[in-house]
Amino acid sequence: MQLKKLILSKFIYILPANESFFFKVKFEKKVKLTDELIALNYKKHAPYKNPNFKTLTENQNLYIWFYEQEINSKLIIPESYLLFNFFKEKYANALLNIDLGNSHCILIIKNSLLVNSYTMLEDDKNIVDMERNRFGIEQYIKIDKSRYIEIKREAVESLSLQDLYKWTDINVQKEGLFANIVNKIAYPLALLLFFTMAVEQYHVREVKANLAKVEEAYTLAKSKNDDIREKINSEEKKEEKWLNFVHKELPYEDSLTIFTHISKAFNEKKFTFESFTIVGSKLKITIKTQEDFIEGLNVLNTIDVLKDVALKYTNKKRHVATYEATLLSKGLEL
Amino acid sequence: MNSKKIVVLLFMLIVYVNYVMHFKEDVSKMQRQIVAIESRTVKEQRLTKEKKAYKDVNTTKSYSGLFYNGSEASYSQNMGLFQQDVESAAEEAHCTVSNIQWQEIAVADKSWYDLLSLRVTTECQPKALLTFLDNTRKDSKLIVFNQLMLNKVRRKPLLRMNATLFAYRSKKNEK
Repeated sequence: MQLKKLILSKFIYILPANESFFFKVKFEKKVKLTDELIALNYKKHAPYKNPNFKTLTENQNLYIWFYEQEINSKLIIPESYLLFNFFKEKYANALLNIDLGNSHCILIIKNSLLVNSYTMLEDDKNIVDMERNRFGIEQYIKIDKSRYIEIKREAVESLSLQDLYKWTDINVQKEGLFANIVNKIAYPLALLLFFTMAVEQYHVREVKANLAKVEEAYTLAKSKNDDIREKINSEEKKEEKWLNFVHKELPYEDSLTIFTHISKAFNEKKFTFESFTIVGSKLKITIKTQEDFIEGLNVLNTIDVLKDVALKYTNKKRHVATYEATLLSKGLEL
Repeated sequence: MNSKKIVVLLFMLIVYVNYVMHFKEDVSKMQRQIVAIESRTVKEQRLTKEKKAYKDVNTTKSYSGLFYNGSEASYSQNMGLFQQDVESAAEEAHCTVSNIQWQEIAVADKSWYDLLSLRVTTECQPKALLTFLDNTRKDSKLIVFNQLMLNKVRRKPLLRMNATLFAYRSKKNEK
């Protein structure tokens, strides 16, 4: 929005309706004409000698606005088009008579297309009627001067960036475009590459210097601890040795702790231990009970240090069940 | 096209590509090195400040008593001490040691410790058995129940424990 406001205020020039002459050509199919071709074909229709002109091609219609004085602006928008653009949705088929103050602008819109536009010094009802009959337009809108000023301001503000783009004079010469670009950017690009390398090298040098400084500080700090470094290393070795011992010799919780865990879990349950065996990581328990054997399985499954709990053998007559489980590898904490 | 400009541009492009491919140094790697070295320097500086505390440190001092001392006694002497410790733990808990058997001597040349192994059979009241197990833990030496089998003795309110007990002897004086 800021960009649009800047363009509207700085670069736009509204070509007054009473200082231009509108001419429209309709083609059978969509064509694109250069300014030279337009001048050659349609210059003769202008009421000025050596006229300047502004054109717009929409679908198969070529709109030309001739004007006398040369205007040094890149963005010229004819006032009649500006007003047509503002009214084309609201009055799709209408003849508009706009009071410009010293003259009257006639805009003829049919099927939302600009059919004709011109200015009259006096408001002539006969001409208006004639135009309405000629184009078969019933709707006639008259706009007074104060309303016109207001509408003109609104019309300028409502111009979209797309509308503005339609009126810009940017001609890109495709021929020799690459050569032109290369010619223009060769030295700056070469300079940029050189500059990039120079900056990077400078940065690398700085980082290297910093690295050397940091390394020196580290060597100095390290040398101050040389006297106890051997002691620390030997302590670390001893710790490592003990850790290895624990991992190798004491991989599981000790048998007493496991027995206590299981005893507590079966506390207040009507189970009697017949046998309890731990060999390596394997646990085997034979239990006598009047309860459901699955209950014993559930109790064993609640114990954290056991996994893969299984009911291996049951004898309902003797009310005996044998459970097996694997101990979780845990080790002792040093 | 201006040939002089093209030559200059091409030359610079070749120089730049070669610079990127062969001569450009990895600055981010150097920066990571700086961060790592700085962190190590901070650690060294902290160590310098706390140096006095480290001089007398012995992180594994409390573990030295866990093993039977191999530098002062032979393997069989250590086994005898181990058996005595087990028997006294059982006696204190009012358990009867019915059988005790030395397992095969397993001396590992490369290891810094030897394994002492006893096969023990005891009979006692269930609570007394727990006391016995607890007594072995209270002992200054590390005793590990490697294989534990508990059975109810027929027609007696006693539990029979059959277990392989491990203890360890150091090959030299570990401090």
